[in-house]
Amino acid sequence: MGTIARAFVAVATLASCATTKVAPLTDSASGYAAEEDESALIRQAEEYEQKLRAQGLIYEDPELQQYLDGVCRKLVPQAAADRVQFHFAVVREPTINAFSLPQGGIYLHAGLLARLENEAQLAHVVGHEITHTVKRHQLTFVRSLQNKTVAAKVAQMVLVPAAVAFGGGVGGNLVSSVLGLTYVAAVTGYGRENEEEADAEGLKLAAASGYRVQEAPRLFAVLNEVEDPGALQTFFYSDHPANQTRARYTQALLDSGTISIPAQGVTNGEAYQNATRGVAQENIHLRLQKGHYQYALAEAEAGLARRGDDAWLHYYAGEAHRQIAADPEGAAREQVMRHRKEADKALIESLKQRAGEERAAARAAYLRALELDPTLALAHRGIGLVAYQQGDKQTTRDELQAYLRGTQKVTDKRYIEKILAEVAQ
Amino acid sequence: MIGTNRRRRGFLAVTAIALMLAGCTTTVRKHPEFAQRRAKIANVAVLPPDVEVVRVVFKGDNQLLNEEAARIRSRLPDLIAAAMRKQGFTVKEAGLDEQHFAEKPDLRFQTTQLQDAFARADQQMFKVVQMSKSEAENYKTTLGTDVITIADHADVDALVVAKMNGFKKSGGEIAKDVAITVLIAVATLGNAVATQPTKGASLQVALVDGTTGDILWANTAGTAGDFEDSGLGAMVEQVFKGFPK
Repeated sequence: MGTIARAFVAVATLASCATTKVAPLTDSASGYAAEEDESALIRQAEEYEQKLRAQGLIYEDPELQQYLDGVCRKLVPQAAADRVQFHFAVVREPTINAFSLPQGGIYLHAGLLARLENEAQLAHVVGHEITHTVKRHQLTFVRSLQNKTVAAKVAQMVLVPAAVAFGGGVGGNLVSSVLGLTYVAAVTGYGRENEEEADAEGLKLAAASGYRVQEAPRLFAVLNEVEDPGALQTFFYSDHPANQTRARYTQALLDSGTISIPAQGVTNGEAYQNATRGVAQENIHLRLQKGHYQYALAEAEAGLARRGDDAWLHYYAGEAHRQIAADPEGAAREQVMRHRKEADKALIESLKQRAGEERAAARAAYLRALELDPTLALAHRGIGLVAYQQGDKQTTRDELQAYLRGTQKVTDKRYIEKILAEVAQ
Repeated sequence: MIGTNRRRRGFLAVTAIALMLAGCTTTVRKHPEFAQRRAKIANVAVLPPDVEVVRVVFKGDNQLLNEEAARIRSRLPDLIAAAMRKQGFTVKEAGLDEQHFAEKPDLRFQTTQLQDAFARADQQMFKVVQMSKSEAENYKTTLGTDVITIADHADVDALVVAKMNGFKKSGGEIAKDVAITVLIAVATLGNAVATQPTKGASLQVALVDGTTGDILWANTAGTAGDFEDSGLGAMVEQVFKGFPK
């Protein structure tokens, strides 16, 4: 073992040599040229973005794009903009997240845009993501990941045979998994320093653009209100300190006097809400597609609290109620995910018992949508499907036929005609 | 200690094989209403499969092998379509290509969503690959009613969705495996020799009801070897061995 151990130390030491200290893009003293591994990362990022587009995952809305470009471009430091072409896109994904890639792509999930309250909060998130690219955090992160992976694999080469020899096959597996966990913990631990740096620099960028930086701690409070462990823990700033800690951290930064705070910082709440109205509705649709019925309902109701006369929001509320009634198992799975508890039959049973109330709520919401906009034929579809669930053939027929006669594009004609044929019997 | 563990592992392996041979477990998942629903399905369309091939490298930043994945993506639908025809289905074109995407831009996203829904269902369905027959023959899961839009577009009663994940190890990764094998052999004085595959893949295929999104049948197969040439056909064949008559 002595020789192997010495070899392990030597190889692990050599393997950990790749430098994680790189100059930021804004460093005028150092001439910027992407290093070999960084060029590979940039190529991968370009391929990734192409894939997002090929899969239809980039949300296309020219007006929103114009608004985002206007807000986000002014946050990019000029020296960095000269070296990397920054661009901004919305990803059709309802989880709350934003991320940046080294080729200059900054990606905002629809779920994040639907949740933020104003432009100042958006500026902080985007400033944070821009900082990751300006500081070349992607490169340093990958290098440290490689260093750790190589060290872990060298350790695996030594420890697995040793465990097989001394502890048998089961022991071997245990050593592998313990080593894996340590490795994962070490890798995720690397994020914290970078994230704090991005928060601090992001604040400075937002402040320099005249935004009300006091919105930064508020941003984390807003995100903390979402009972969405899947999004918050797995996606949004997944290797970041907890949102509460970050709220305290950003507040401390503001209190420290190290950031020059604009006297009359802007929030632009109304402009933000107007610009993101479409993507917020798209997000409700995405939630429903993913079986997040209760989130969809909560988002529709939040929208209705601001704009009670929005026919589409009433329609989406109806869709959420209808799908909770139609899919109690799915609704139970969502509750389990939201509240991180074990699935149980009692929960499914209680949701099944509430199906009648959900259908009534769905019908009321669809009717309200039609009151507000009689051309919203999808609401007829909803009423027809509720009636179909209830076994009311006449209403099913009348409403689904009204849907097919409507002026909106029908993408499920075959399915609707099948139901009509069934209820005609 | 080694002897005890070996005996225990041997016992478990023999028990698992005995259960499989006795027909108590299966990789097939079948909806409880399969027979009734199958009777109403005349035509199907095969969705573009979700294929990912990864090169596992020693440094850890594994690379996607896009060209290999694209080749498999273009071959797999034909193999699956042929297997479905053998089962008595009429197979129609899904119409989910660039030309159709240009005409109906939202189809692109809907196709991705469906693949995504299958990936999520697949994780649940095959979390435990071998399942007791009684449980597997009453397996209910759904991809949701968004399937309707695609089935409507293709004008079919049901859709066939597929997902494949393959890996190839780099020279460095293979060298690490060889080193582990040699060291295990040395450490156990030749009593244990562990070999690890240098490439492999798993394939999952499902038949999805075009009006409800329910998965009516699904199966999985894997290989610890070639998955690009004859290995791909062999995996498809293996998957369809489990199709109910």
